[in-house]
Parts: sequence; structure tokens; C-alpha cells
Amino acid sequence: MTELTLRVIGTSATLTEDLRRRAAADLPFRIAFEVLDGVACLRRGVMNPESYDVYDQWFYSLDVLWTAGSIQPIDTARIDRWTQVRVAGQLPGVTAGRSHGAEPAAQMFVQPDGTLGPKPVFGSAPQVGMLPTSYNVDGFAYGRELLSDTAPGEVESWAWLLDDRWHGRCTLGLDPAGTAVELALAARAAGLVDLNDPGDLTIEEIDALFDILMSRKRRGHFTRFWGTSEDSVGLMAAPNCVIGSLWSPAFYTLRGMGKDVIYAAPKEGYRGWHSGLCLSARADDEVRDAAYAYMNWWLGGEPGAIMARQGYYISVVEPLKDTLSEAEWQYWYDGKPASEDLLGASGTVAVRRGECREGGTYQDRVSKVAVWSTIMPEHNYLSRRWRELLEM
Amino acid sequence: MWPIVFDGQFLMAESRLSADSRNGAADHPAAPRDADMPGAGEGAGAAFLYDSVRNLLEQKIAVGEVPPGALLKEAAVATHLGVSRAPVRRAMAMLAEQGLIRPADGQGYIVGAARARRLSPRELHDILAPSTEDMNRSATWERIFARVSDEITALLPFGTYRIQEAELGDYHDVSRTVAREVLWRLMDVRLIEKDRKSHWIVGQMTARDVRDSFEMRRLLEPQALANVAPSLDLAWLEGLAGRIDAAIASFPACGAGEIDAIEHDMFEAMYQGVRNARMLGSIRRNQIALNVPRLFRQHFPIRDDLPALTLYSQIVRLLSTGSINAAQVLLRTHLERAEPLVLARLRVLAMLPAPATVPYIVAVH
Repeated sequence: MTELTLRVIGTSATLTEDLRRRAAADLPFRIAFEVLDGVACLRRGVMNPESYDVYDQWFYSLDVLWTAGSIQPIDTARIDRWTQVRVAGQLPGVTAGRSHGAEPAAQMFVQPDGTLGPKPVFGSAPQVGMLPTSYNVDGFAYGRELLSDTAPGEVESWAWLLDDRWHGRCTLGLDPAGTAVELALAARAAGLVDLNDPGDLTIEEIDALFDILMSRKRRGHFTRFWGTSEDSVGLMAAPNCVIGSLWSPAFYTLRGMGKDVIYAAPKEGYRGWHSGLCLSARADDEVRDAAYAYMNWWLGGEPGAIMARQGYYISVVEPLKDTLSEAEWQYWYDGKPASEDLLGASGTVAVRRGECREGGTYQDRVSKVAVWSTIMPEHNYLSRRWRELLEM
Repeated sequence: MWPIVFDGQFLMAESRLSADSRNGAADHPAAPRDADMPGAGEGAGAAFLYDSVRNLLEQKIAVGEVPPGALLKEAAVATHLGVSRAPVRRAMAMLAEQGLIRPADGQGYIVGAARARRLSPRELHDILAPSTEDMNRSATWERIFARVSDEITALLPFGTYRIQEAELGDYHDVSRTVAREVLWRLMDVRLIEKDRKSHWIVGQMTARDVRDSFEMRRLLEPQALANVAPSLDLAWLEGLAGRIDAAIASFPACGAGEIDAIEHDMFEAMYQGVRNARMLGSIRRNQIALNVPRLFRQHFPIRDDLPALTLYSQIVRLLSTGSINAAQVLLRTHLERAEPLVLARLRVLAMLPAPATVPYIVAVH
């Protein structure tokens, strides 16, 4: 098995250098990570299943990969901790039904007719299209100086992303699956547009939303859009940017750099996301065995700790008691004040003693998801309008 | 075969409409073939119009009806043959290449090696006019319809495009009139539309388009099936059932082309005998989403097509035994089941890089 190299494609959200080093040390075969941006990763996943063995990305790509025939079922009988797996804190197959948009893992179980469905097939160990791993709920970030412009008692809101008070100083992510949803929340919160479900926009709603966004962009409301987490750190660290959508690792990197930034818990609720692992349709024999070993490793505790130190949760929490310190668990999962300085993913102090995570415990935070990142039914139309916005 | 370029990779998008499905439609299920039907009417050995013009001139030169030295001008020949200039231009270029005619100093060509002599309009008319009937003139638009249709269909998931009429004519070597005729017919099946500035537009196919058209199909097609069922030819039905069963038996080795051909018979050929022209027109206009699986199968495995084939087989057998109500129920079931699959496949197609456009199509976002 030593000659084998397991090829993993994904985004910078989960394929970190820390994780790669740890995997290389723990597993008896070579690991190659290929880090792509979200759109490129999904395109590769769909078009070139022969170019990877494991696909690591967000749950909303599952339906697309499955329909394209690019991935194969994962046999949960081969997943050691399957019974401990929870999807955003819930048993797989139980949907919270509270938030808009596609629930994560709403359709993950392989059905007898080869389609994916919400419930496992009764009787045998279920097969799934994607193994749930990391997840989080996102708000946005802003510099503390911004608070001097707010009214007394003003509560953090997605509407701030479109607020004229911070004209020209807002940055957003390039991937519409997350950003379009955030902007829909923002426009609705600002009272600019009437949207029924920010996770399932109609053609008219998309047009109304983009009319607002185009006019904002024309007036110079946004600074640059960021493609990667590192890119967002650079933008938010620069003086001309004071507010923006930001992933959790970027936020804690900025904290580690000593930037006085705050992560918002918007009153409208968070944008949630869930990622997981898929097995390429082309993986077989020893490559498939290696992929299962890698998936089991993912749920074994170490990756969960690495993810936690950049602010992400993991689908199997039990082994974290061995891989996270008490202080780490209390800050990252329990929402309690840090009892000591905590190191982030980059090895610098990301959390100072006494600080509290915004939003509280992981159950509290997940229960406040307003909408999950998604490829909505009118995604083609949305992407086209999105390209138009970026290119104008 | 028309290559669609995806980021430097060539994915061969077969012109299936023109090949497989047309062959499938050759045995007409009910009435004589409607010459106005898109995709129909290209009989065996039908050549392009320029070929017919070339053959005609070649033969007339051979027997001396067009005498050596005769000066042939594109415009005059076109007028007397009653065709547009583009095919004449091409035919004469081919004859020149064969050495039968040579370019004249000014305009046109001279027959053979003899000294040039001008034919009076009357002479030219007498030579050419009686022969126009011999020429295969079956509407020129038909010859390029399937190709243009495929070129446009490939772009449906990706965005909005404008079609330039004159460039379409140049690209396919037909006159602007013929190009326009093709475009009108494509508009008839809702593949394209005209915007307020009277530009021909290929609109992006949205999830709503798919849902709305399926809703209409569920309303219309079961009724159309009942209307046409009594006049369907039993041998045709049995032939179709046999092909479907063969496809099921060899699935997925039967290949995408055979499934395309079967779906052509199930949803296009099947209704050709519907006498209610308004109903038939509405059905055609709402079948635009049939392009999604066709396009999908050019790029991805056909795994999910098996359940539909099974239903097709049952529907055709029920029709053969006269169980029309049951066939209608199954057709409705199929149309209900197909909708989410078409939507899912459209989402997959949208992930691909947009194909390179042909010269007559311009992206407008």
C-alpha cells in the first residue's frame, strides 16, 4: 500500500497544510491535496472523476456529482464511527426543518432505485453519497472602528453589508453559492427587496436583487471580491476595508495578526454550510480501501481538532475529548470564555483569555441558521447574473 | 459531428437529431410525413441545394445544352433556376475546380476552353427554366435545421445569446432568406425568441422553464396520446417496443444515441398524426426540455435513463393492446418522474464551461 497516493481535491476551507501533514503522518500511504476554488472544484468533480479519488467539498455539490455519475456510494458499514455521525448536530436523516434553503444532507441516502433520498433504506447498513464531516455557521466580520458609526443599541445585521455608512469598504466572496445567499439576506434585512426564501430565489427575486447589487457596485460600494481565504485576510487587513463576508479561519488568522475585528452574529441568523467527502466513481480496489481509511481517519479526532482551531465543527464529536484541551472545547464548542490563550490553525494566539465565541454554544449557533449555502434551483440564472455583476 | 470545445477538451457532440432520430422517424406511425415537421423530410440521397445546382449544370454542359464559351453569371443563373445566389456561387466554384468552367475576366465563369460568348436572358431561360423541376429543391432550410438546432441547443444551459441572421447564412452556406426560415421554425418550437429590438435571442433555460413546460406536457400529451392512439400503426408500435426492449436488455451498452432515437419516437413521431394542429403546436412548443437529457447524455453516463425506458416499453405495449387509459396514466407518471431528473441534469450541465460558440452566435450574458 505504500506506493499508493490518495488524490484528494477540495477547497482551502478544509484542505489545510496542518491537515495534510497530520494525514501523511497517520496514514500508511501518500496523500496529495489539490486545493481549488469552490467553482473550479465542483466543475472538476463533475467533469473529471478520473482525476481524483476523494472529493472534499460542500454538501450542496452532492446532487450535482451524483446526477453526473461522478461518485459512487459510500458503504457506512465501512465507516467505524457511523453511528456517532451527526449532521449539524442532528442524526442523519432527521432534518431540523426550521431554516430556509436546502438542509445540509437532506438527500444523502442511496435509494434502491439508485437515486438519493432523505431516509436510509430500512434493513441494512445505509449507503450514502457523501460522508458528513465539517460544518459551521457564518456571519460576517467588521473592524471595531465601525461601531463608532452605529446607533446606540444597534444590533448586528446582514443589512450592514449594503449599508451606505460603509460605502466603498465592503468585501465579499467570489463564490455565489455562499455570497448570493448572504446578499439576499442583506437586501431583505435592509428592506430593499421582498424575498420569500433567500435559499430558493425565483427569477423575479434574482432580478430584483441584482438590480440593487448592480447599482451598489456601480456606485463603488464594494471593494474587491475575494477568491480564497488568504485573499480575504489580505483585504480585511488593509485599511480601506472595514466590513465583509469572511470565513472563520480567515477571521481567526486576522485575530492572530492582532487585528481588532469582530465576528458578527447577525440578528437575522447565520448562513450555514456543511461539507463532506465523496468517493470518485473511478476509485476501486486498493484506492477505494485507502479512501475508506482516509474517511475513517477524518472522523477519528485529529482532523476534528484541526478544524476546531479554525472555528469549524465536526460531525463526530466524541473523540474530540482526546484531541482538544478542556479550554479549547469550552471556547470552540461550549461558547464559554477562554480560560487561557488559545492557538489558532496558524500557530499564533487566535483567542485571548477571557474572550467568548460569538453566538454561544455550537447547538445555539446551529439553531440560528437562517439559510444554508446552496445551489438553488435557479442556479444557472443566478450564476449568469453573478458573472454579469462581477464583470461590470 | 460537431466538436464542442470545453477548455481545450473536445467532446464530440454528435448531431444525433440528424442521424439516429431521423432514421427512427423514417417509418411513420400514422399519417404521411408532414413536410413541415422539423427533422422530417430529408429523403434518402438528398443533397444540398448547391449539389443539385452543380449536378444540373454539369449535366447540361456535358450534353452541350449549355454550349462551350457560354458566360454564366451567378445572379442570372440563380434567377432562372429560382434559387438564391449562395448555392449557385458554391456550385460554380466546384465546377471551376473540376475544370468544367473557368473564371471570366469580369464576373462569372466561361464554359470549357472556348471563347466567351454572352447568352441572352431568353437563351439562358430556355436552357435552365425547364429543368428546375428536376432539381431536388426540398426546402433548403430542412438540410441545416438539425445542425443549427444542435448548435443552439448546446448553449441553452449557459446564458443568453444573439443569433446573427446573415452570419448564420454564411456559416451554413445558405441565403439569408433560408437562414431566416430556419430561425422562424426554431422560434416555432420555442428554442429561440425575438426580443423587442427584433433580434433573434437564445434565452437561457431556467428551472422555471422546465417546470412550466412539464406542467403543460402533463396537461397536453396524455390527451394527444388518446387522440392519436386509434390511428397508430400496430407494426410501428411493435417495432418501437422491440427497440425499447432491446435497449433495456443491453443497457447501458445501447448507448445515448439509441435512447435519443427512442425518445424522438415516443414524443415526436408518436404525436405526428394528431389532427388538432393547435394541440400539436402547443406540444412542440413545450418539449424544449427534451433537449436537456439529450445534451446531458452527450457528456455523462446514461445510468438514470433505465426507469424511463421501462415505462416507455409499458406505454407502447398498452397502446398496442388498445389500453389507452392505462397508457395515459403511465405517460403522466413518466412526465412526473422525469421533471426532477431533468432539473438535476440541467444543474449539472450548468457546471460545465460554456461551449465555444459558432461564428453566428454572440453571447449577450
